[in-house]
Amino acid sequence: MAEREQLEDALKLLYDALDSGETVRSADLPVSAELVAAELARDAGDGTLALTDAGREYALQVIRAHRLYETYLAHRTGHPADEWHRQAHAVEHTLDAEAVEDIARALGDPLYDPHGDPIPTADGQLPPPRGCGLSERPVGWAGRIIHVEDEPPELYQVLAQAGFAPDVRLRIEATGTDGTTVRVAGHTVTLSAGQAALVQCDGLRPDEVFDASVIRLRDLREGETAEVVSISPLVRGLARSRLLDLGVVPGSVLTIALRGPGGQPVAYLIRGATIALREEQTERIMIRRRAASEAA
Amino acid sequence: MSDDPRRDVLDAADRLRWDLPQNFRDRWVEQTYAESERLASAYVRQDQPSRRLAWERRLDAFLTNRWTGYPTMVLMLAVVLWITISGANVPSELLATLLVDRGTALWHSLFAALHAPAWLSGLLIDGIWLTTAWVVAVMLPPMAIFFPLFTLLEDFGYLPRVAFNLDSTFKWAGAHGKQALTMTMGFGCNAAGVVATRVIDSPRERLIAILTNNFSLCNGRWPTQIVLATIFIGVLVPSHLSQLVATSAVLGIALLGVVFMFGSSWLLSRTVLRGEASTFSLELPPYRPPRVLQTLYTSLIDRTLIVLWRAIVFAAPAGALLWLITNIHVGGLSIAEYGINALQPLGWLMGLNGVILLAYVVAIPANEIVIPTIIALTTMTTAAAVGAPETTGVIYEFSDQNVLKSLLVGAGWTTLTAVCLMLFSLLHNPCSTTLYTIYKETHSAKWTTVAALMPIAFGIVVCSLVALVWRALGGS
Repeated sequence: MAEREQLEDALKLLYDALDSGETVRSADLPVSAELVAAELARDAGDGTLALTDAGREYALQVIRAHRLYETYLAHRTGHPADEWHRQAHAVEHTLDAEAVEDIARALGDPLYDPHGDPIPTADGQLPPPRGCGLSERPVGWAGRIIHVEDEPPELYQVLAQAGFAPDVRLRIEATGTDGTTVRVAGHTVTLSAGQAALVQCDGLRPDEVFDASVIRLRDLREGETAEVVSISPLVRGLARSRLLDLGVVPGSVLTIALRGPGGQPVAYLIRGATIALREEQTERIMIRRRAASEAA
Repeated sequence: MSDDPRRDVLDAADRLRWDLPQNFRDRWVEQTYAESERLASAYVRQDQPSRRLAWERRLDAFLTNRWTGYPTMVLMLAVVLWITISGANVPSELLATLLVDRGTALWHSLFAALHAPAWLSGLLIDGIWLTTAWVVAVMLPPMAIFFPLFTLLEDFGYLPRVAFNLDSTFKWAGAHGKQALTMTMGFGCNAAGVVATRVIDSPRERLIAILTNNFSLCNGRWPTQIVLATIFIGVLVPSHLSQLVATSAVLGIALLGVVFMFGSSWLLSRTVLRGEASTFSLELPPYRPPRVLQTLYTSLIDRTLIVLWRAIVFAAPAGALLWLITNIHVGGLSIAEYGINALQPLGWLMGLNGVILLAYVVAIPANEIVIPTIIALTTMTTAAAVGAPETTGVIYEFSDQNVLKSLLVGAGWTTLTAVCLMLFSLLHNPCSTTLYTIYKETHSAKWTTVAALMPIAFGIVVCSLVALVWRALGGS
């Protein structure tokens, strides 16, 4: 097992390096001789390594197992985001092809992992790379996030807390020496250069617009009426279906009914029921204020 | 382009798939919900106004206010406990007279008339019948009062407001506000508290509530606390203060249980339960007049009788076991004496003794029989049996606390023994009824094991530390 792990890790390393256009000298890779012996890699001459077709296919299957397992952890368990990578890394070497396909089926054949990385299909297909860094966009540009890098964890933590996730729309409000100011997930945040570098964006789809009037449910005040716009993609699995069950669906109208003694939790009047939610939920629910006369 | 147009279409579909929104399935589900909502609101007429009534708003404001909400909760809990304790005394004594005294005598005369051998009547009557009758007499009345009261408050809509008020406190420990309710239910019976965790719909928080319910001092353990506090703690101070000090000692133990509940919830949510899925929602239903008769019926059937039945099922074998280990002799000693000797070193380390630990092993089925079992085992091992019945291995209670105290002191008990026993009574494995219920609710041997071992580990550590410090400071 340890042997398989070493081999697969080396293979992934080689794949990643070649994919980002670097060259790898066989002397630098720990088990390069074994890779060549297994016909997964070959010497491209001048001491650098190239992947064989079998090697590329194998590497993609390991990546597929890793990204599927991260998706599984995100959707089906309560493990925090900073543990997905470590756990998936441990598990990816133990899964056989059948187990990987079982996971894929159980999750409904997902295309992307929770960070926005595409999951290679069973026959090794990947989409062409797209999008570019947030910092390369001009002020006033509106688009959607397609990938959020989770390393280094302390920077990623800030981004996730602020609501950055694949498929969330954003608009660049200002750029300056103190960083990039972005309107995202119902509020405005300023990112340092290091944080902005973790976010990959693409243009809006033809049917999408950027709506700056969207706010978070936590920012609703007593007496105001709001309409649900969406639930953040960061709310996954059971937590998401529970909100939908309660009637937190696009178009639902809600108002504040009651605040807890210390300000939290807050109970909302929604579809005739009074439902209390915690702050970590209300900052993930996107709403739009409605004029009181519109309230049905 | 290949020659097969069908292939082209499929390839195009494969390419386009990557352009779908990444959370495409979630959005799809969301749109399905939104569309159903739109259809429902367009075609379903609501007769009830969806707005809350003015008096409901005022009552909510009062019950969830920082200054009025908390005192109301404490008051309500005190009233419920007071009604339970004062109301249960009379029927408990009645049942004890009827089942324990009269019933036992009746069975004995019946067996004597049938010329049954002594071992048979000993095992069946002194062992099984007496223990089971005891458990019924002690458990049934408080449960028959406590649970309906609780259900009435739930029915009226008050309990969800309590969960709402306390949610931020429980959130700190990684738990759900509704755990306040299952914890309170545990003061009546831990098995019922575990069943009540069904109201928590989040898997992680529900497991936390199940695994920590045992830290609520249950109905079966209050009598142990009260007796020990009265005869060992209360006498340490002048007599006019003794009642107050004894009561404070018992309440202190119950509060310590709440502290352990929060602490272990915090610990569990950050360690072994991290990976369980978690979500939160708390519905505050509209107030409605409680349906008293229906509530009495359902809480009797759903809670009291189920819990009582399980208790009986587990108490009967325990009675048989107690009788057998005290009456079967191997090489001149009863099995119980071997057990006491084996447990003595650990007992000493924890400030207790072998008799107490053996009593806890025998009394795993029901905490109610701990004190009677201790008395039975102590009278067996000491010659100082005052007013003890002639048969051994029979549970009974002393009506005179002075006699009980002299028996225990004669067996080497000190204030340290009493303090450690009070702590151990709070911090030990749940009774077998509760463990079985935990297994039924979680379908997991793993979590049942955690529920059994976690409190006993706390108990051994806490009691040993107390004993160590006590002895270091020169106490005995």
